[in-house]
Amino acid sequence: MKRREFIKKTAVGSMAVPLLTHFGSININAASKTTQQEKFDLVAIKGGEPDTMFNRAIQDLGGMGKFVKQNQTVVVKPNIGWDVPPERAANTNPKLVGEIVKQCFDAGAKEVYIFDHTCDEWKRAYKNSGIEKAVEDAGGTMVPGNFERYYQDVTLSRGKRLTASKIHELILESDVFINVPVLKHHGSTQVSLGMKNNMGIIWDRGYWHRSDLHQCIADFATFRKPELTVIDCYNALKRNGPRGVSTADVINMKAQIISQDIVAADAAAAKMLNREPTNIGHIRIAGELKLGEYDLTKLSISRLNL
Amino acid sequence: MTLNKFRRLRIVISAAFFVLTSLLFIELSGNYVRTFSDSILFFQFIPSLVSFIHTTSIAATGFIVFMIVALLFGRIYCSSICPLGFTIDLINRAAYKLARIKKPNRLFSYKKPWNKLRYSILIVATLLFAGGLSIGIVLLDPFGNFGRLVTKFARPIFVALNNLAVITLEQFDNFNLTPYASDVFDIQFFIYPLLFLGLLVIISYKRGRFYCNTVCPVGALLGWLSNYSFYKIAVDDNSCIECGLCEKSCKAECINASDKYVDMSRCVSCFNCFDSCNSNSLYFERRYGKKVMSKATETNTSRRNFFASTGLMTLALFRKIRAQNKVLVYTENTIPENRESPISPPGSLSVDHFVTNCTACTLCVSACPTKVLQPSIFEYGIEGLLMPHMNNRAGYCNYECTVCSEVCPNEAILPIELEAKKSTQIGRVEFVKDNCVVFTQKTECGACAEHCPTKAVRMVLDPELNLRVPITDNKICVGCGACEYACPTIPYKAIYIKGNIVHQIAEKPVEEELQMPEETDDFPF
Repeated sequence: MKRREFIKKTAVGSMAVPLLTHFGSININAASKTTQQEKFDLVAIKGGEPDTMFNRAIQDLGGMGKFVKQNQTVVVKPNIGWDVPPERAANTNPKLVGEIVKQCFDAGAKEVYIFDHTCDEWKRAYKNSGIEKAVEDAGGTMVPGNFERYYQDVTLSRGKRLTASKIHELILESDVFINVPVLKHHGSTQVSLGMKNNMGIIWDRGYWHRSDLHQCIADFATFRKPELTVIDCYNALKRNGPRGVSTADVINMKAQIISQDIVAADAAAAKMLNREPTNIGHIRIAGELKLGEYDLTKLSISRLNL
Repeated sequence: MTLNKFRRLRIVISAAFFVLTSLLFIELSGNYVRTFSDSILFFQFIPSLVSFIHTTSIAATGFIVFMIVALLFGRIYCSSICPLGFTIDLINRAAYKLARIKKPNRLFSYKKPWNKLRYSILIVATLLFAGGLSIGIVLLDPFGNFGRLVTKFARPIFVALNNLAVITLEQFDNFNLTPYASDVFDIQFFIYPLLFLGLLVIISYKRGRFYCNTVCPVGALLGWLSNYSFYKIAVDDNSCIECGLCEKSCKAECINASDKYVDMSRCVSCFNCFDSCNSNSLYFERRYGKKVMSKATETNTSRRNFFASTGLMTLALFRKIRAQNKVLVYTENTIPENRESPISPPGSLSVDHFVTNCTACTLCVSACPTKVLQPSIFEYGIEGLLMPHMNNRAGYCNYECTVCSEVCPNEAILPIELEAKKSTQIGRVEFVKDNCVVFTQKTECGACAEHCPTKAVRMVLDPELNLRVPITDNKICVGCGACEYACPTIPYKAIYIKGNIVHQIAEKPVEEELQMPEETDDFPF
């Protein structure tokens, strides 16, 4: 792999990202008035299976081909943190992950990689979450995330508390980064969504935990944001998150939220759990840093029911 | 008679057992040990003996089989089954290869037995064990020692080779091989295995099976039985040409060719002598109450003292080294954890049960997928030397896992059903408020509650701080140590597990009905 080249590219990119996205979002809004396909900033969908909902929702963002081009490499980052079965909603729904992998290939992706730096023992989490099988059936490649040697040092020039980090090389090397968290309650950050899911692509989570967790989560978004965030709200962990104790903690929402803007997606998903985005530390900070839009009234949203 | 075929048969069987037993400790995925540990460990003497004492089941009668065999034919166990015996043979062979001696098995000569030392060790180890101290067995048991040698010296090589293969394949974008975490190198766990291996090499180099015939308690017990074996190896006076080849080939140094005498108590049934004899003069003879020559010698007490004192001195030299990472922004905390008791794994019932039955073979350490099981030094006290304990800095006990209880060869960790394991309380959570990030840094954290499988620690809003702080509930805590492992504070943990000396039953977490929201087509935005 052309690791050095990629790191250079992303380092330059990271400096340009805040400017580009800020103005980029305005551009998209401007363009949306003319073209039908690129109309929406965010799609919220209800009432179907995880794969069918994604299939429908992605159309309103312009289709998968808008994000994944011929011969590109894609990294999909679901939440596979825990050694629990899919119905516990502690991990992303395997059906959804499988469908995303399939669509990446349909759009011409050369390679689709999936990993998570899991909390529970990684082999068991990969297997028992059902994600390993779903990915392999769809032709994707599961990559380990629990070994330090996969993680590369990067500096975060705009980070306040998080100024350096070790990031999984797939995030640095892949052309497209798709973040696929599951909608969860969280004991301390209140919600665990897109930005929180990024804790699974870095090595030293302990540093984040002891150095102002919310600030670190937002700081990280200054470095690398996903091209697409898909929040799985099919089964949602309503309490005792992020691991849950039993299926009694789960509600079957049958919903999904997708957006190019990770902050917007997180804000919308927070509302699904009856939380105000501005009350969630990292969403508020990220919004204030102009990393995305947490004020949903400023977005054009496609609301769908199947 | 075609007795010389016995040697080849013995080599094939012992090599097979050596490989199969080694694989228990080094097969990395853990599937092999879970599937085959019972059938392979059935034949291992000490594991089978120790578990028989507790279960009295037919599945733990392997040691009885070999005691009966010893009464019939002698110490078949020592050359055919014992993996340490095979290791000694390998050392011996390698030593001769290195010394470029062409006929390696022709250099031994008859030596007097050290019976007083030998049987003293057996008696002391047995008495200690009867009194609840397995330290004698831990230090001398051939299976346990073999296990530690493989875990400490061979397994890391296999992990490294595997990971090298993983890295190589990854260059070609192939992620089909699974990488495995290499154990954290800690010199203190190498001291005893290294010392043992060093001594083993030295004494085996020239004296063959000296360890088996002087130190090993299993060898001593089976040797004592073999004194009365129904069949014994004898020399045919008529055909023997007194060439002495059998004596030179005997790695147990128990054949006196000039007296045509074989000391059955030291014979390890390797059958090299049958193979070496050109006149086919060696044979199995029925022992018709014939008096066996007694060759007792003076015990060398200075040697005995040497063993005892070296052991104690090495122990006294152990020191604990704790690595400490430094972080710049974060303020380090000051209150050390106050651990009163070590934590033994679920299924071990109590520290007492565990320490009396564990032989520190470290099979559970190799098999543990989260690496929470680590060898100890003095955590259990001197009587629990080298025995595995739950080290929550190395990992935490996976809530859904019972692997250690499945593989333990001697019921120190009894088999436990997953549901029973989930409510077995091996320790209780202890929260140190003044070490906690939320209180010292005034920021959110919650790493402990994140990991807790039962929500024995959960986050509750503190109105004063306007932050979520950990609240613990001892009753539903299982002591898995996930909170302690995840706690990011340095250098001391703000939350840790105090071991239960006797394991308890944890209460089930209360499940409240979750209020389901009304079905609606609208979105809350």
